[in-house]
Formats: sequence, structure tokens, C-alpha cells
Amino acid sequence: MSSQPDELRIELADVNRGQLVHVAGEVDLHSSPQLRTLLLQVLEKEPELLILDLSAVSYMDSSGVGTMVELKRLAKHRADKWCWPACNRVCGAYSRSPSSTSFSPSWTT
Amino acid sequence: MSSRMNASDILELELSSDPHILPGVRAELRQWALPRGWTEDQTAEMALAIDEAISNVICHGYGGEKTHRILLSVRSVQDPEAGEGAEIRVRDFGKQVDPTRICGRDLDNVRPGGLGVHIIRAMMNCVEYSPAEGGGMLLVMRKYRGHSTSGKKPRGPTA
Repeated sequence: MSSQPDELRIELADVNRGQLVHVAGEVDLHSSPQLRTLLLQVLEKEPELLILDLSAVSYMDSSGVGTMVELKRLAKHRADKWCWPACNRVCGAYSRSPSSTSFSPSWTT
Repeated sequence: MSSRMNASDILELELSSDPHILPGVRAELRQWALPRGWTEDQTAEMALAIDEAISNVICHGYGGEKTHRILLSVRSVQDPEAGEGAEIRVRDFGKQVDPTRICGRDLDNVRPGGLGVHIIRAMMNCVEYSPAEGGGMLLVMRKYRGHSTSGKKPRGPTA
């Protein structure tokens, strides 16, 4: 947490079979609706693989956690597997293909 | 958001019930706490508790309406047993609720929402809700120097 607000930044990137979503900055009641809307839009496209990179998130309150829980629920309805890879920073990913649910150690921070 | 630091070093903020004020509130708390010797972790924990408390007021007390008033104050306190600490008061003018019903949801029920009260209680030593005179609710939270969820020891005050 810094003295200057660390505004939410979201970048999308295409990966081999889906989408990589980089999230950076602070996720709170003010910014989480923006994150939620974007993630729902990504899910609507039903990517085969969705990787959510939260390693640059500097702050997250319960509204952000709620967004993650909602995303996980929606993804579980559509996906074969949801993973929270073990790493210092939280990252989430889901895959619609059982063969693509493993994560390389280089992904963790 | 209007703020002032009065002669007795109490941080007082008059806020609107608009979520956009939250980053500024966290920054104000940081500017109050760090020079008084609170660690980065403890400061972050207090900021998170305040964030959750104000978010609850905005969402539940005011039903998401952005034009209502919230008063926040932070001051140093001394308890005979727990020692030095910080007392944070969050006053709103919204709906009054029975304080015994403010308990958060069952954590085994994994769903969005309802985590704020659990987080507040985890971040602070004492948390007390009460109906405020004239309407609305008053939340009084205290955190003492020896309390940190990270287990790191606090440092002394800086000049």
C-alpha cells in the first residue's frame, strides 16, 4: 500500500489457447466493478484457457475477493478445472481442457 | 473528502458515500499511522479494516447511494492492560441495524460478499457496532501495538 493511489490497470493478452489477463494496482469497491465487468466479458467468449495474473495487484479488499469467488463459480460451470497455482501472489486460471491444467513453475512469482 | 489533523493529533475525515474516496482514505490513514510507529503491516491492516467498514456503510447503510455522509476519526489511545493503540470510529447516518445481526456470513458458504465483517474482526483487536444517537450506526474499532496478523514486531515511534 503506497501513499499514492495505485490505480487499477488491466491488460489482456492472447495466449496459445485462450486469454491471459494481467491485473495491476488496487482492487477495492471503487475499482472491482471494472475488473468484474472485464472478466465476465472474457468469460463470455468462452476461451479454452483463462489465466488471471494478479501478481502486480498491490491491494485487494473483500470486493475483489468476491469478484474472484464469482469468477471461480462461473468458470467452474464452464470449465473442466479451476486452479489456484501455489505462488507468492495469487493467480487463478481455468481450463476447459483436462490436458491443459498443468502450470509451469515459471508462471509462479 | 475533507480532512483535518487537530491539535491532539486526531485524524478526522468527512467523506461522501462514494467508493472513489477509498484510495484517499487509505492514504490518509497511512500518513497518520506510519509516523506514529505503526508498522507497514499494521498500517495496512488498519487501512483494510477501515476500507471494509466504509464499504459496508456504502453498500448496506446507504444502499449504494453516493451522496451521503460518513465521518471517520482515528486517534491514539492508551489502555491500562493492552497498552498503546489506535481507535478508529466510523459514523454513518444510514439505516440502523441490530448490532447482534452484524456477524458476516458462514465462511463455509463460499460465495461473493459478506466477508467484510470477518476481515474487520481479523484486522483489529476490538470491534463494536452500536446504533448512533440521531440515526445511523457507529463502529468503534481498536488495534493495539502488539497486534499484527503477520506476527512481525512493531517498531518504535519515529520523530
